[in-house]
Amino acid sequence: MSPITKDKTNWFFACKVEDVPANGGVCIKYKDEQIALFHFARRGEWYASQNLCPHRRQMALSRGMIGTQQAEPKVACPFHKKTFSLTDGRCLSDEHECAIKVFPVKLEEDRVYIGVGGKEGSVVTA
Amino acid sequence: MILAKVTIPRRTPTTDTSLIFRREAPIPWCHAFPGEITPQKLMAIGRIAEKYNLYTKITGGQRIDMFGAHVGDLPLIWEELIEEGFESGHAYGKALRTVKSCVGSTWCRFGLHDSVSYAIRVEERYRGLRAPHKMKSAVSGCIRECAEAQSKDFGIIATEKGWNLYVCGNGGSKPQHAQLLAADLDSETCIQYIDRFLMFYIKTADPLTRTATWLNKMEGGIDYLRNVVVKDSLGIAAELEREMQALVDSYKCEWREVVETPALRKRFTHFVNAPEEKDPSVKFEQLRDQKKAVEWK
Repeated sequence: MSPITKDKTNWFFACKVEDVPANGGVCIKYKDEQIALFHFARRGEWYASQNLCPHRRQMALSRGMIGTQQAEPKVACPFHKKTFSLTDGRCLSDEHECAIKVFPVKLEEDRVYIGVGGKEGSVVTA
Repeated sequence: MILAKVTIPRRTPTTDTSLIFRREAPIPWCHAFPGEITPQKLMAIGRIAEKYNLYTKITGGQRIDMFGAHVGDLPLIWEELIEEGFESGHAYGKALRTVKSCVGSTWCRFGLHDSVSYAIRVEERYRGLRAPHKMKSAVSGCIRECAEAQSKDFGIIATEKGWNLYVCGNGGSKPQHAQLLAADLDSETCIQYIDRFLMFYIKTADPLTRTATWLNKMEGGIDYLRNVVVKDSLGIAAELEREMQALVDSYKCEWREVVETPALRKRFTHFVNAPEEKDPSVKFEQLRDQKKAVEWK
């Protein structure tokens, strides 16, 4: 039997909606971590992931190119175009590459919150 | 593929993808007119690079590279560069890059015409022009070709009687020389043909296709292209020229726009929720007398 886990999601205030470019990303500072936050304006959806690209360990994903692959939201790192799913973080362009951490995002009016916390929420540093 | 309208697409985070991040910090990349620069401007670049601790290098395109800026410093750096008379070199875009020049008739014993003046005229006309892929150009003052115009998307070489216009040359991993489109043109006609050629390329090439690839895939090749551009076989020359003029008339330096627009300026921070803080993962070390980013592996 699998252990029962409590939802330990800790929502912190990231920024205002207007701080994020439409169809682009920004980098959020959360304690010592860097989190990339993306606004898919056309789809009305928000995603968040670690800012660190595992390929060459550059804090660059927030400046990546976003898009979709068969309706799955993705981000491509601007350095070498490694592409990651923003639903589960797996690398779409290279099956041998590490996955990235993804985080839930919620909006309250014009304020954006990112969920961290518990085992699932731990963030990757450079 | 014919584009529906000939306007420079509004730049979004996804269009200008050539931004050379090059390890932690984007480069400001300033623009020195085709290879020509005054002592005052050289000193200004030196002063600014020293003030912001930037790595400097001369580029193959006769420009000056400045690396290692923190993203928050970019608007400040550009404010100073613009104050000194520089403007964006569009290194980050699928756009016109450099128009190289040789010394030309002003100082070279072989120069047939003033290649520097013409290169400046060409670069000032097409600067910032967006296209299916980056475009490079050059003007050489004689057949010795010190500006290497034959390896350019459009290259101009002086002849006794005027200018030869070569097109669809590319460098890179599979270099290909440009081919002669028209010979012995006067300065005005040469620009007219370049207008038509560039607009035809912009409107019909697939995205991310350099001019060499576009020509290689073109049915009828250089002869067809010459018919369209020089002989106006499709009857679209006037329209192409009009559309190019509209783009030329609407040029604005993008970095100046950033410097002067607070909403754009505030985008240049690493952390959107801590705009005064620099990226703590950025680390430099010394190489020769300058700095470089610490190895990433």
